[in-house]
Amino acid sequence: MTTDAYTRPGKGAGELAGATDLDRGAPAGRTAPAAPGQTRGPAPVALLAVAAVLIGWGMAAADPHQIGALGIVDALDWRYVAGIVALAAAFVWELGAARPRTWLLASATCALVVAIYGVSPVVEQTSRLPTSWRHAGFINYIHDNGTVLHHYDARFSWPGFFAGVAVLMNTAGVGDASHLLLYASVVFMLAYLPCLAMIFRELGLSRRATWLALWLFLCADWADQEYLSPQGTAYLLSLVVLVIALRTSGRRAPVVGGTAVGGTAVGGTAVGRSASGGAARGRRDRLRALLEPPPPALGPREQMALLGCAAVLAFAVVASHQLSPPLLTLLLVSLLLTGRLRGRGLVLLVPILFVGYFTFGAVDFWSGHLSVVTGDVGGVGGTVNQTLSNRVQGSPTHLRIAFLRIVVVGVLFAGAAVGSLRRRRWRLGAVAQAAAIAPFGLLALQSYGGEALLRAYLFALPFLCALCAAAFLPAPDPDFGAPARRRRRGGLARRRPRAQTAGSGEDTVQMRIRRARPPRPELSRRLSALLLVVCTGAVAVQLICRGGNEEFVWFSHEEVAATQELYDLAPAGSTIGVLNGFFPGQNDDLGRVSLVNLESKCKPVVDPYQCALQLKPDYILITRAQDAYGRESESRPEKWAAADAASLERSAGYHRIRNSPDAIILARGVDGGLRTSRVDASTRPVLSVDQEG
Amino acid sequence: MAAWRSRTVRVTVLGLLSVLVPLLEAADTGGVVRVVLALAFHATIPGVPLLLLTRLDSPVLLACVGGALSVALTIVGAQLMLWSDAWHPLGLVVVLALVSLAALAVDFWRGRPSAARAGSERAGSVRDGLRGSGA
Repeated sequence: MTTDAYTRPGKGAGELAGATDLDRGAPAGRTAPAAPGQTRGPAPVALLAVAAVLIGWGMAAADPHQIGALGIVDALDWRYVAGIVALAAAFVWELGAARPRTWLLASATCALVVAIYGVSPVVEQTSRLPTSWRHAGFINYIHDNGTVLHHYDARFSWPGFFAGVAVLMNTAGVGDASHLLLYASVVFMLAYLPCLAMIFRELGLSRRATWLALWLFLCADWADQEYLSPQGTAYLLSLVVLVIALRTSGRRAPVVGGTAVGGTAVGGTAVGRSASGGAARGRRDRLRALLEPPPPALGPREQMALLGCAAVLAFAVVASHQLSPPLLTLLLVSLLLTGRLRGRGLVLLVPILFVGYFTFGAVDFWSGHLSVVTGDVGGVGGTVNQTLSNRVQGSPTHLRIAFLRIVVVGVLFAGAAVGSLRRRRWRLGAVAQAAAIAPFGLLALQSYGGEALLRAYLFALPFLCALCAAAFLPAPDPDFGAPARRRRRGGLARRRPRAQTAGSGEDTVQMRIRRARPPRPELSRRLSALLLVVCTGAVAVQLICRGGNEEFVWFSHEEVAATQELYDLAPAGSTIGVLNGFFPGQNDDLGRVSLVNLESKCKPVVDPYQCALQLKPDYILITRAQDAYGRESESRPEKWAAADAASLERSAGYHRIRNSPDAIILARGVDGGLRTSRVDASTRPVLSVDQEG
Repeated sequence: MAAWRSRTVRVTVLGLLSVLVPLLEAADTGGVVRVVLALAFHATIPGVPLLLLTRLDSPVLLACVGGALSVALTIVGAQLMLWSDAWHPLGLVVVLALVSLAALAVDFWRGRPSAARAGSERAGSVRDGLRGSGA
């Protein structure tokens, strides 16, 4: 099928710009052999190779026990830093070439994914995040029993993702889902990239700006939701739904002089022509065609098929995660309002599926707790306050990291505002602006345990990054950039007499058309230097923002072994107490033993020691990560967990059955015998959500 | 001819994946190879074969939507098994593989050289007719 196979008269010049699309129909710059001087030669390739070696060397040499209050940054040395600088330099150098090589930019972006999202698993060698271990437990339960554990956890009311991974485990012959946790972040991020690239292209970004926006996204996603989780998968599926929505809906036909523009594709180059009018109007239309985002070069059958796929994806999102469907709906509504949604049924379908599933499929969740679901409606201020008060607290270093995250969000919004202003002259519409704001409408509906703001940010992030990239590279194609304009102004001044003799008499239009011609100009040195600073600085900030919690979200081999030992040791019906949720457990035996979070179980009492005295669980697991979380996030004193363990031994009849630097196991018993005291099942956290991150 | 060859390769690879993975799962063997094949299976089957029928011209779009559709169908299928209290992961994999094989067969049949030649001849005659009528 050729590019113009589905172009139809009356669809507008916007449908004709597909020749420069990232993935459809190779652009001239990619197919034509690059002339000497238009690429950067082997230098960026060498720089990329050096970066890969340095980053790999730096990660291999890092010691996880060096991770401190500043997070993963504490464990990294000059080799990693030099590697990141070399990587950013290779990326920006290639980005500035007249003909950037796609494979090189793709390699640099993938290297960045490994550098940012692969650094934790490579350095730590164990799966991070306590929530991911819980998810492994849910998956294992479904894998072993073929059903969910009712009235156990809210997440079992949306078991689609867990059940899907259980099927995958069965297919792969893997017996424990915790084996899938380690590199899940890297896999998810690599899966997001092509979807994001297509979204950016559909928003009208140039190829350069698309790569820059991808880099910014990787450096701004500090929300840490891309682990083996329902929200990570729902995010991926939501991105694909957005791709489909944008791809199946072209911009409305631009009106020129009151007449809809028709068009045709000539020789694979985007060219538009008006239905009537002279040469000047034809040129103006060609210019508009070049400014338009990629068209939906799809026939009705393809569009229907893709919209059908979107419906299936929407159902999978609804069955997997409770918060993603409202966010997806808000984004689709924003596309509808800005005229970029042809399949309007999607806007109705997603909420209908969501409400239907919630009503009939999540009865365990809402029965008896409906006030929790509806209690936050309209309370935007309360939701924001809850989110900030949950996260902006703790030790001075932790506070600085939390503030840095807020600053990053502020900078992104400021960059998006600048990008919006700079794009305005290109008349590219308000799609990205609307989509960047729409997810925050969720704050009026739900606080989600103080996480709604975080999730809204995550869904707005692609659009914020697109606008930020447009702040640097606003033109839809590099040929329209300011440096190009300056460069061409000289050339055009020399050629003007010839143009005037052509007889059109409209110099202005002719000049604009000339700007669109290849070869593409290189970026100016000043802009390249600015981009290098931004790209390098963004990685540094991201390592602090995303890796800032690393001290309490990573687990040593000793902690993993101690937790496993406790699960093996504890008899059926016994209770295991933990000082807080930061331990690598609950990946097994969900129904066999009861887990008690001593920090949240006895509210309003928040002291785990006091709660342990009240509940007297059979075993208490104390880990290094729990101690670090209390110290960094709750301003508890140094070695508070060890002190609590000693106090429990003295006053509550516990004795140590394991004592190592990273883990202590206390058992309550008299003369070696164990008194089981199962905590009332009705007090289980049926409405629990991930609040550990 | 090159298009036919690439189509044959594509159909062969996806077809082998659709056949091998259920067999390995049924035999409960395979080790690391089985893990790799299982990941590839759930990332492509049956989404990519189904979308091949629509003849999308963008490989990136095909990969993204095809992969996401495969994951989504696995999730939806697993959810339905939970709801119906009939947990048969192998059964779901077999169903997905059968759907994939059917889609691949249709795609292969449509794209065989004789069909492609007939299609191009039909298109040519239509073009000639239009030219002759002055349209």
